[in-house]
Amino acid sequence: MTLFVQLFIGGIAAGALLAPIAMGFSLILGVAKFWHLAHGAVILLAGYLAYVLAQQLGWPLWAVALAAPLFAALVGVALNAGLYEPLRRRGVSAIVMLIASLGAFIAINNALAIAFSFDPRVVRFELFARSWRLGEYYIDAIEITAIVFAAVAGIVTHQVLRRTRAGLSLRAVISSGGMAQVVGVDLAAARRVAFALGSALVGIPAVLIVADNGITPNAALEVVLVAAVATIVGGIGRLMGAYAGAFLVSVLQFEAAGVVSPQWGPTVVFGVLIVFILVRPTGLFGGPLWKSQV
Amino acid sequence: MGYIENLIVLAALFAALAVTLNLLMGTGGLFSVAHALFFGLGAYSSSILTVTAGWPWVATLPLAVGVAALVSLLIALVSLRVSEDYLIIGSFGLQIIGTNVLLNWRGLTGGPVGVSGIPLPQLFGWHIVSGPDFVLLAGATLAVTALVVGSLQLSPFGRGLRAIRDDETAARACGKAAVAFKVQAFLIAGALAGLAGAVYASYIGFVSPEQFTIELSILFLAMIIVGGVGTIRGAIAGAVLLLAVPEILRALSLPRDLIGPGQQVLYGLTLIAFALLRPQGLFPDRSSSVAVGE
Repeated sequence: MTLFVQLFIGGIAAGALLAPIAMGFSLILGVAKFWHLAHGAVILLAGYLAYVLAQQLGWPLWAVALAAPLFAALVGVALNAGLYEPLRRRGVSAIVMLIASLGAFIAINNALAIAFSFDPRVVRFELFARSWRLGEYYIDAIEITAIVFAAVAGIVTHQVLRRTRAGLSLRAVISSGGMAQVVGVDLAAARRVAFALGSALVGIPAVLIVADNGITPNAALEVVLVAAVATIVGGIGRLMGAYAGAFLVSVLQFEAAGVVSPQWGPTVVFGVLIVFILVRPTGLFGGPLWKSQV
Repeated sequence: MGYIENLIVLAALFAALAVTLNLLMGTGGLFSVAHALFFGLGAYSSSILTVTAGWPWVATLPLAVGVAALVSLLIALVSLRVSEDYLIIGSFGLQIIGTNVLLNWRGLTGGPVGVSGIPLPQLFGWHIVSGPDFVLLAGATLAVTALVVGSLQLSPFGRGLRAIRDDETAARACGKAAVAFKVQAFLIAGALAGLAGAVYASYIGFVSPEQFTIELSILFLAMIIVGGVGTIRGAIAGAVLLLAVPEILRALSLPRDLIGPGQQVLYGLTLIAFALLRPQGLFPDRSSSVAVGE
């Protein structure tokens, strides 16, 4: 029982790290209408920036925590402006957009590997060196930070979408790009906002990854794919669904690691994906049956 | 085993795989990133039977083909009720599950070490031992694959598949059983990929999970994109071109440990370049206006 609860805590913490990433991915998918696999590259770039700023330039944690989301947003917007919008103007299909995104991901991922090698790059922040006991269970500062940030990010994103005009426009585009355009929403501007916000959301998780086990190019593709799993599990177009899906998938993965063995993690996670695609592709919270259109 | 001979053997086998992926993606519009898995399943099936059960290589071929085809059926299931988006992500997932299983099911697959000591193949009395022998065998595999895929593409089956690719609803309205066509396409593509795998295993002499990862699947995808989705000529051209990349890198005398990621950066940039400049690839499919690039 102790093991299960401890794993549950770990799973929630991992889910908290993933939830903002998945929300960002889902937002971009919903607004730009294609699978932005380069999202993983944004995470890597933000993480390596955090590493360079903290480790090599000696920036304090608070400054890094401000810089990372800003940089991530910039990268996301730049990718959109430099790669995706030009492709759109050429009238390519959604598959080609995905392939270009994949190409960008591979290029950036491996360029970072050349620059920093595949060894995990860690920064030991003093603030994170603490852990606490709650009865029989342990939780550390990084896990708590992840959970707090996930809560804040979830609430803020939810409120932005519900109560601001920009949020309303984004929801309109997610619901139907064509209809949104008819009522006057500027689709290109909506995409810029989606890329900015969706990418900014990965900034803090990237810093936490650097602080925890270190950032390395190896796991980036899997992180994006797990974000995609969370998105599908939650229901495409439902940002809060992706948010909840991230927790569900992470807890499942951790508990499965306790039951079988951690090595089977990927099988568990993607097994969940396959089950959902076969049985409930609309997701837990009932999104539409998705078809990308560009 | 000469250097050039080695390249030709690999080029022929990878070209055969590209041709089978072409049947799925080009003719069928079925975007699958799980092709390395079918390749690996054929390789592993053949290896396990020859090494641990002492079967002659020829006898393992039907089983290698069968196992690969069976698993491709699973991927076919994922594609059936939902749009291509789910197939893409689902195939990513299945590929990762596949590699994970190969890595962890030690009892059957030998785990990370894989299966080694694969004996040289014999084909009805013809002992395949030397470089030129393998060039012949690989060439024959490519020829058989191209012949099968080519004749299918020209047949009523191919026409039906293209109709389903272009507009599934319309095709169904004309009485085409879309499910049957898609399943058959996956079965054939998977089966032929498994055959190439069996040949590959006997050539390399050992199989391990790292040989059949998602990176390889992405490489096959890149070969199709570069060569041209939908044509056999394109698939072969793409395979040859993308196999030349590491050789170019070697000629530029990059340090050893940079060749891997450097190669990947070039693949990534190649994907982007083709998406931007020539999404239909070098040898596009002129049989229909709705190809990948439109």
